Amino acid sequence: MTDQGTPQFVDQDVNLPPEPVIRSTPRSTPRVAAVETVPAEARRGWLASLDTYLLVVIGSLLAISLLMVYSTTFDWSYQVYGDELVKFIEHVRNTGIGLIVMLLLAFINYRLWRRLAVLLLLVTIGALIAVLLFGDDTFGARRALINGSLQPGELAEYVIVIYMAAWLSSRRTQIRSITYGLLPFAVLVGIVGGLVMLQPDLSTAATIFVVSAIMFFLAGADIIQLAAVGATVGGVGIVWISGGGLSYAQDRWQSFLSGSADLTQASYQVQQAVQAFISGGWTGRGLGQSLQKFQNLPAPHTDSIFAVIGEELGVLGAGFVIALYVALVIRGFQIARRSSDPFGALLVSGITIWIAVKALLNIAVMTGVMPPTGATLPFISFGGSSLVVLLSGVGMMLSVARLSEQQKFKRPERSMPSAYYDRSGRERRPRVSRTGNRRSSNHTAPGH
Amino acid sequence: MQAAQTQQEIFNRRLPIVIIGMIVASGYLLLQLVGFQAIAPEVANELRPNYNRNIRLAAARGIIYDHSGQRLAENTVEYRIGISPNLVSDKRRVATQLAAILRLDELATYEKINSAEPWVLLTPRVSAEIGQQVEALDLQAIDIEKIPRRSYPQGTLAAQIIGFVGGDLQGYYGIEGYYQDQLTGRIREEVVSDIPFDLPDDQTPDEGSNIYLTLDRDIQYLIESELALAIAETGATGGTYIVMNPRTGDILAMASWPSFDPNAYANVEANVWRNPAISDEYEPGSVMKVLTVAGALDREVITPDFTYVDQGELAVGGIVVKNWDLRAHGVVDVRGILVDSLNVGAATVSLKMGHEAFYAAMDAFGIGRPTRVNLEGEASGTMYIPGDPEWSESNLGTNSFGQGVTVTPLQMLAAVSAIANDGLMMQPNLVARVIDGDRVIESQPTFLRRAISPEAAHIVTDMMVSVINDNDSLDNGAGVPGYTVAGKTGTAEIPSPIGYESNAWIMTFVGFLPADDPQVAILIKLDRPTTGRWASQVVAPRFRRLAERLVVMMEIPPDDVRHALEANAGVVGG
Repeated sequence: MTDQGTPQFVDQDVNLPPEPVIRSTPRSTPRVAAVETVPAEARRGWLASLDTYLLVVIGSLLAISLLMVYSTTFDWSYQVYGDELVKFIEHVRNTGIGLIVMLLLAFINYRLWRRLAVLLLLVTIGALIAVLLFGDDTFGARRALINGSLQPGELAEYVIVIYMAAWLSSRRTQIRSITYGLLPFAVLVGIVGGLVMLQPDLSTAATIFVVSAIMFFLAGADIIQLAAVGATVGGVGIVWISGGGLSYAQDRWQSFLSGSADLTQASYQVQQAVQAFISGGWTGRGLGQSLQKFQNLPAPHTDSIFAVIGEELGVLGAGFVIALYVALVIRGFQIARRSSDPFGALLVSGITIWIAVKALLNIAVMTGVMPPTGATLPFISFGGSSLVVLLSGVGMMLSVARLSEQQKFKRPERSMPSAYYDRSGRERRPRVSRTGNRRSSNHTAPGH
Repeated sequence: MQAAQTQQEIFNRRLPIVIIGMIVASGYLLLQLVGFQAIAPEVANELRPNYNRNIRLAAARGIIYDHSGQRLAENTVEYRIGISPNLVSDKRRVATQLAAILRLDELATYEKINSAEPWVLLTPRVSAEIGQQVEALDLQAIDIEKIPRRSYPQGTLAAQIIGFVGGDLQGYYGIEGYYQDQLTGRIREEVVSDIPFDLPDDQTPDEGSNIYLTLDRDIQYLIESELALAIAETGATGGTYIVMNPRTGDILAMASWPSFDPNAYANVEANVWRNPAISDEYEPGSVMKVLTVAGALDREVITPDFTYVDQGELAVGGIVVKNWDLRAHGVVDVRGILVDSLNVGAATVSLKMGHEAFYAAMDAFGIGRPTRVNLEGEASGTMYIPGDPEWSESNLGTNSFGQGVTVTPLQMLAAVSAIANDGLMMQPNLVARVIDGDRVIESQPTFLRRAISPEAAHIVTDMMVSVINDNDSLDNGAGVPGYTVAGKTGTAEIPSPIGYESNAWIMTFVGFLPADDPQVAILIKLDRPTTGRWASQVVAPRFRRLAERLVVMMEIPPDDVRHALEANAGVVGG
């Protein structure tokens, strides 16, 4: 790697695997039949190098998104613009932009983000401070810059995943140390999450805390430390909120508590969502047939889109959507396991967790399990910036999957000297590399 | 586990925990969804949303026209303009633009736009023209509400006849009040579904009916100018002019002082909204003698040749009736009672009639009962009859010359018009036709009753002509050259709780022309004029001036021309 002047994370105890750069003529591997694979690989070109499983899942989610966004916006578009397609076309355009960004990131080596992580974080923190100082006030909160077009909170969720992946992968076993692991982690997440909380945007802050905590756990955090911190933060949070620290959150919490005991006392949004699910039944009223979306459900095309899915496609359709997220999580974690380096593994698992937490949060609110927040349903809700950010995350997952797959072609794993990662799946014995810092010894990526 | 575990080992071991956690969470949410399907029907019913709303589709209010189609009341749109400050990015520029268009103070506008409120009102009411300029700015933050407004393009003209529409969209007073139901149309109470697929069958409200009045804008303008001039010249505190077609009862113009601008009805005291022409009750004075004499002639209590000896005073029921000049006039005939306006003569006639015949005759002329004109707020006047606790024997004497009885100006004019109309009482009317969608409802003259016989009517008319034409008559200042005018003045004292006011009179003139073929009947009433003691001095000349211009506007030919035309027509026709 060349020194580019930006802060970089340095692996402390493991060498970097060599970076595959040029698709060289694949050599035969023990697992892949050389005669068949090589020409096929060459013929299908670079698109084929992307993870098909992941693409099918994302494609299904986006297809459902197009259907549901049209279903929930045609009346609104017609009323406001006189053309029922206006919002749908906007969504199609956003989806297109998101897919282009996704493909772009899929073909950029994800390791670039590790080098840019510090810079991205600094920019995000700067934006979060700026929004508190100069932001536009809407509905009593400062969440956006430049006429509402930029919401740093949304960016913060994403950047914290990249930064955590970079930082945690560079810390390795030091994570268990309080001074080198827990303390910097707590300070960092505390700063970013705290800035978001000040807006106040509780659901984004909660996402940041939960996602980074799970990543910290995956990266090898001491369970006792994590449990202690979790208990403290949770306790303080509950005391603060119930003590009136955030009046709007407290109101919602109260309405949630009364609603979970008796649905007729639940908040308006939850009541309407539950009504949508009841009206949908098992198989739904049919595509486009939702009644709740017209006046009763607030934000049917964004926050409440899951309830509309439940009404139009029934428990089966809603269950299918949940199944797609589960499939996404499983595939994401598979890609993480196969990653050729800890950064890739943590990056992919972080993005996966991030998507999963967002989806769970939205569905939990819709089903009355959690008090209402402003969470959208990832990949399905209308909303350009959110969709583009999410798809760019998928692009990074694809990049990790592509590069780890290429390495399989490049080097038979048994002969790979730097392998520290059990890729075979059959052989459980960990390969431990103890060759020290090999950064200086070789692997200057040619032509990077 | 040993401390020597790599991050990858820990990662691989912990990953399944996270995966399982997420799958469990998803499964729980899915169970929640399934659980909703098992919700008790009564709970589900309670949650069942209502997709239907009741809305009121207000109809456009009907337009009021004068007899020739001039708009007297119409609907316009005004704009109320507000702004949501938190949606404005360039507050300074927007403030400058809006202040220029709305003609507001720029600094004050900026302060409003800069406020922390979610919504501020910029201006409650601007014309459609300005509102459209603001609309053209196409700013998302600006909130424009179109407010339908009733507007009266003729301003104060005929204000008391038209009435006005209040903030509650109800018509008040005049035509707006009387024809509220027809003008407002049917406000449709419609159930509207939130579901755009369920469009209601018919969303167009029934528009209000348009109303054409019998009123003539030009004559109305003429009498309003005359009235204003009269008020200025005589120092009267109030007054009423009414012009009516005695044949049909159609009111051609009706004006009273003081008036108001219905576009700004709230700027005047509420009592100014009343229409004095139909709601002011006053003692009519000598005009009443016409009705007394007509009733007596009709009932043949007296003949046209009847004479009596005027001694200057007459005792009736404990009081003494005196003439206006406090003199005895000797032998006087019926005509003389009217020409010299003798109270003693009128009382002599009414006593001769007896209370039964007298009050029956007054009732036939509509005294004491509303005229049923199609205007809101009509008063009926008060006439006590035998049997009422307020009635006493002396009333029979004083009522005969218009004391102790109150009438409204329109009542008086309607009664005199019956004499002009061969003794037939017509219902006063202001509406020529009502146009309800495709239906045109022409209003027909409404015959109320026969007040007196045609013969009696012609005799009294002839006497009223003498009142104007006799050289020594008091009222001959009302004569119009070229036309025979029938009329009578009245100078009435104003009753107060402690007797009659001193040095204040209500002076009226009621008359019609041409006397042999009445086409227009006019009432002029001035309250407390200060430039004379008698109506013959103050009001009669004003009648003359008005009538001279009216015959031109109404194209009533002078008598000689008309008689010649009739004669020629007979020849040609024969």
